[in-house]
Amino acid sequence: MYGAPRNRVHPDAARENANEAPLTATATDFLTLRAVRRDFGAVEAVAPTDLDVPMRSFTALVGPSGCGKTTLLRLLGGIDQPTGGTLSRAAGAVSFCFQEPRLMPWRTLVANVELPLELAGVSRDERRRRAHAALELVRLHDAHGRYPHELSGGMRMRASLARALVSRPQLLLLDEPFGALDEVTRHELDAELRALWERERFTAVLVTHSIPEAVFLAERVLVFSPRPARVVADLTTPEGARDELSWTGDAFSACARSAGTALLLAIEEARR
Amino acid sequence: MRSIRSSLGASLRGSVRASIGPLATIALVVALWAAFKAAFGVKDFVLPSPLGVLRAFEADPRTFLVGVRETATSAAIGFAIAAVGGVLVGSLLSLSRAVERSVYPLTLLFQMVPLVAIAPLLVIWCGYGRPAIVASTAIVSIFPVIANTLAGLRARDPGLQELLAVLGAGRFTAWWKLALPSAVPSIVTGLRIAAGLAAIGTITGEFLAAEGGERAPLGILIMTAMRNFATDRVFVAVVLAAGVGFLLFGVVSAASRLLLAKWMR
Repeated sequence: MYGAPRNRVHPDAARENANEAPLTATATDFLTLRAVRRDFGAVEAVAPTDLDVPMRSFTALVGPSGCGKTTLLRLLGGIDQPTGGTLSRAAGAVSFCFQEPRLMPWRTLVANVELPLELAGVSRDERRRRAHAALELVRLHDAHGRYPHELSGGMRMRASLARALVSRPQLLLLDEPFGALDEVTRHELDAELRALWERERFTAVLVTHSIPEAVFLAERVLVFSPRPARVVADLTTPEGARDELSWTGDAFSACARSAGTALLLAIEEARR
Repeated sequence: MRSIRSSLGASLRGSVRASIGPLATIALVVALWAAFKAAFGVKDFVLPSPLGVLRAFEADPRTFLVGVRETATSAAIGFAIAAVGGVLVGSLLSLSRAVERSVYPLTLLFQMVPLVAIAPLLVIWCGYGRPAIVASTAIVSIFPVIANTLAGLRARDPGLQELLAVLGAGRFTAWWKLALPSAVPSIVTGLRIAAGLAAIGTITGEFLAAEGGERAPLGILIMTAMRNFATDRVFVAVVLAAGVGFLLFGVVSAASRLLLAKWMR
């Protein structure tokens, strides 16, 4: 496996020799990965990967289920450690948003959203205030006193997003955050997330298996092969703000089509 | 959001509806009892009539009500000790797998020892009077609390556990913010079982350790009435003892339902 080709995913050619450069995150990149790999025993989950995630960018990682993209996301967030290579992360708060809302059933929404601040030792008044602000960001403010079991799946996911945003993260890592929702709710939340990002401009990395979602949300889409994860396409999505029409616009369709083709080819190759 | 008042109202209406059947059964049993006694001419000291039992209470209500007060107090104190102690012991055991594995089976074994066999020891150690009775109550009711606390503390959502780890929560914080709240429904179940057992421990304790006189509890009233062949008085005391157990269970159940309203999904 050591002979496997490295993933070269930064579009900037001047960075060709970046792996020889000292590995401190630059002013422009939040994350810098050089030959980062993750093995679980004999199983190679992530093939050696080079990746730069610029500050304030929105990157989507697409690939078939079980290809190792979630593992890569966990490496980016530092909740798992690479078994090889080097990963540097700029200073700043990191937040995770999981596929399930993961709310505490015995806490009201606002108390759930407060949790990260509570653990960080923020004062009661301050965290209450910021939790309310975060709930307002996801348009859930009216439901702040409710318990999770009283809410729809979409509202719970919004609350989960608010909890991820409450610590004002510089890096937001999203692991198929809306994967368990119905199509309509999902589109709605995708639009809100994109609008949020355009306003707040945190650095975001999204894992999804939906190509249209990746193209809609991100500025840049990385398509991964089946395990071990290897980047097979690196696409820049159409610029500008998104609206309901973006899903079917020509530029989006074209981008989604090239991502889809790359993914299908990779799957076919893996079968052979 | 359901208001507490409406949920209380619903649960009250529900419990009224739920008690119609049992009440009818009790009425039927009392009627059969009266009919049986009349038909076979059973002597009063063997089986008093239902009316006779009522009259025995009416003849001496003060003694019985003092007995209820004394027994209920012992049961409540013993239950409270078992509740706090059981949650504490269960929590301590849950902190370490090794400790849990080596101590928990022993607590189960300890539970197998019949209370009536330990009660004399309690008299030796605590003397006659309330401390021995309270100890006997606590010993009977503490085990379900320990067992349910342990089970509840183990059953935490792995997703939330990971979330807390990501948020940088330490072992103690994770225990306090996640494991303990997750365990509440299970602990409450343990407390309800304990409340049902408490009166049994109290009466048993009273049989061996209580003192008679002005403030004789129900256990003593039962023993005294038995020695005097005052069967009607035995019946009164037994019914009242059951009432004490039922009351404690009812109070704990109602409190737990209010508490658990939050935990319901």
